[in-house]
Amino acid sequence: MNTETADVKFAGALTFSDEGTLFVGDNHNGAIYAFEIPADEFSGQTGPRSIRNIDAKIAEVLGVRVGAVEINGLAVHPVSKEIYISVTRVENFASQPAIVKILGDHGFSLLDFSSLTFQKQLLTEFPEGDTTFEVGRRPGPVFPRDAAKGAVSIRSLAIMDMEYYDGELFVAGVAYDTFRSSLRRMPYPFDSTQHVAAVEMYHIAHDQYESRAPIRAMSVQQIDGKPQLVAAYTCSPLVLVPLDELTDGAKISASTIMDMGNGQPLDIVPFQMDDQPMLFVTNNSRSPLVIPVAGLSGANAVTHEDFERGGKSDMHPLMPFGVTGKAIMFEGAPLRIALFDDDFFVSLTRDAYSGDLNLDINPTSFPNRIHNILSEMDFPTDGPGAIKRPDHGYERRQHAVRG
Amino acid sequence: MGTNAGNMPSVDSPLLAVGDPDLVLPRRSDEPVVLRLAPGEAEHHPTGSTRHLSVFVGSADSYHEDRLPVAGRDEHRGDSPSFTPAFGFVAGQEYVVRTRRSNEPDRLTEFQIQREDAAAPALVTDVYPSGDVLPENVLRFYVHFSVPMTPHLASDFVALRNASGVADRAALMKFKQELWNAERTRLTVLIDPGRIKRRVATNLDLGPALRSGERYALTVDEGWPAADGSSVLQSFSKSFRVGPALRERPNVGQWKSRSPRVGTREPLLITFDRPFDRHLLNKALHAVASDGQTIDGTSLVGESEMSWSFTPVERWIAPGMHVTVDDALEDVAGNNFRELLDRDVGHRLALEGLGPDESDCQGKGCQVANETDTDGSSEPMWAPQDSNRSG
Repeated sequence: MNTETADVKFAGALTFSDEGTLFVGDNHNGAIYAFEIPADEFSGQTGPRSIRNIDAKIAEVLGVRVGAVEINGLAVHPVSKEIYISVTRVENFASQPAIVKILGDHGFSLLDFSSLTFQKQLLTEFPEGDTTFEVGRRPGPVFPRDAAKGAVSIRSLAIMDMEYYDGELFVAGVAYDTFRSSLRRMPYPFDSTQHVAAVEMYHIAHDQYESRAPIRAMSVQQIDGKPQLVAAYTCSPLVLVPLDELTDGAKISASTIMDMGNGQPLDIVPFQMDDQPMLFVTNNSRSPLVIPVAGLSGANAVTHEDFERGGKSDMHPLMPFGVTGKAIMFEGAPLRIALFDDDFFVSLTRDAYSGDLNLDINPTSFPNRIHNILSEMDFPTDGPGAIKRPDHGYERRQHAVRG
Repeated sequence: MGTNAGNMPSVDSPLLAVGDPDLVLPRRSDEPVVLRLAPGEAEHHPTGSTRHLSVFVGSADSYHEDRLPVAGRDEHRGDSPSFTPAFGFVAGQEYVVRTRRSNEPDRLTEFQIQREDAAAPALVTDVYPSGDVLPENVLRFYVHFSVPMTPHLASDFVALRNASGVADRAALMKFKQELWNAERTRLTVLIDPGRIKRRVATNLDLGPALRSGERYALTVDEGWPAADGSSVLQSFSKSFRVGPALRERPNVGQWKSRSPRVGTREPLLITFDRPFDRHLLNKALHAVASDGQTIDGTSLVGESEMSWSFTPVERWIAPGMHVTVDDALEDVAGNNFRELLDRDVGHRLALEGLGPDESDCQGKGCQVANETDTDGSSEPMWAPQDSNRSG
């Protein structure tokens, strides 16, 4: 354990161990920091909550205007139920990392790195700093914000998601320039051991085998009797990787079991519904999917031999393909989501009408705010007409049927 | 509400006054806000709603009771509470300080840190190579700016012009990705190697970009905006005459040195036979002691990048000290100690010698010796002068 202050340069992906160790992915330093965070047991009562304009409030705490905060990650302390949001604070010519803690509706504070003991694990096979993206092939003109991809370092995707499972940290992202999409595993507490494997998967929508674009979000689940990573990629395949295949230097062929045909996944959050383990999969351009974990057992893994040649985006009759689960209602667009406790999700949600970024805590069984929706339920109960429910003796008016 | 007007609930928050004469406001990002209170006036380390000093983002008009204060450190200096922000105040951002004393209305005071960098106009500060005479096959120019510049505009503003001022629009390489340093204050401009290398397509079609004996100028036109948009560049021109091409590999045997005396801190001076790449020079030469340790000191690149001097922190001691030269050091035509950029073979189109190769010297550097592609076993050409020298 270090006693000096952690030299975090970028606060990106966040995840907690069950005991309350906070892991922070730093794509600038190529390192993962593990902070031991002392916490009091949460004593409040959970219920639906909403903090409007969460990005503006974070900006106020950081002393900058609202547009000068970029949100990178969200996690909930398993003991204290404090909500942790990792951000980049942008100044005129510089940026700094920060992690904001929220307890209750108004308890905003900064995580003080200097007050915490930590361990730091440098990534092996960290990409070269001057390798940048290119502007991929797209229909239509290239706008300046598309061209700006050319200035983005590959390193910024070094750590996309982290999962703590059974004494180990699993990390998805891109590795050294000769191979890209990688899965790492390392014991925690860190002992400098680190296994890095390259991952390839068949992408139905693109009709090709891909080994560069990284896994965006993942979760470890018991599937077919063994722990496996359920992992989501951009555009948007879902794959399985048994943990026992994840050895140092391995070249893993992940099993493709689903493809939506487009979109960028954000988070995969496990939760329970009617005592069944489920996955809540969010995407920046689609309704969230709820996938029963039981449905992943014995799932059919596909290769190029199962399809005709050619790309198949989401309008193709074949799409969505495989174990898609159910697309469910989510009012607004999720930026990040995490499990708050057994019964509630916490999300950073872009309001569909106002555009505000709100922090919402909603039940897992109906993860929505309803302020933008005016339905039959919202009409006055004492006004004209009445609620007509079959179980309250209402019978539909009979219409004559002409023969 | 008309009938209830007389029973409006009373507003609990105190009235606001604007401007607090007891505030000391920061002038730099890392300075604190201090409230000078009279002895006895300060509460004992009040926090939360009774805090004396709170800073908010925005103007006084945008302040309201639900705003969150900027995070930072509260301290007391005697009777004066002070607040230092966790991240420093951002120059150009409006802030408002709320000062709160018991039994007095709150006061709001606005402040802003002036942008120092905005005051600095956008200028070209240096161009390298800096010499008045450059070889016909000069490869690379470095253009230094006083402030970070807007990217993706270089080809609109930077040009190579002949003595009549006519720009040769095909002379400079156009990259999809411009070659900037991280601060975006230094741009690397390359002459299209196809216009330098003999007997390749563009060289045959368009002729060489530079001809020995003629005058040219590297120009940067007026109007290029700084990255923060606060100023635009004033025009700049670096004029030079073109001399014969550099077609031989550099050879340290052609370098001259003036050795310092043992026991002094006199500079060691090495004079080159040709101009070298300015930024490679900064890190390519090292004075090394007999045990292989690099000697601490200050090195300076001389005028026209034709010399290099080194002043040690400690006095020179003998013997066995020498200078190592990284064999990736290039002259201004891109020739290094291993490879010529342009070999007269007529069929190689690749940019030879710009990337690493498998030569023996790679990574080790070559000692300053009569022939650099030896393994460094030859006598160093320079050592401090010492009458008692044994080796």
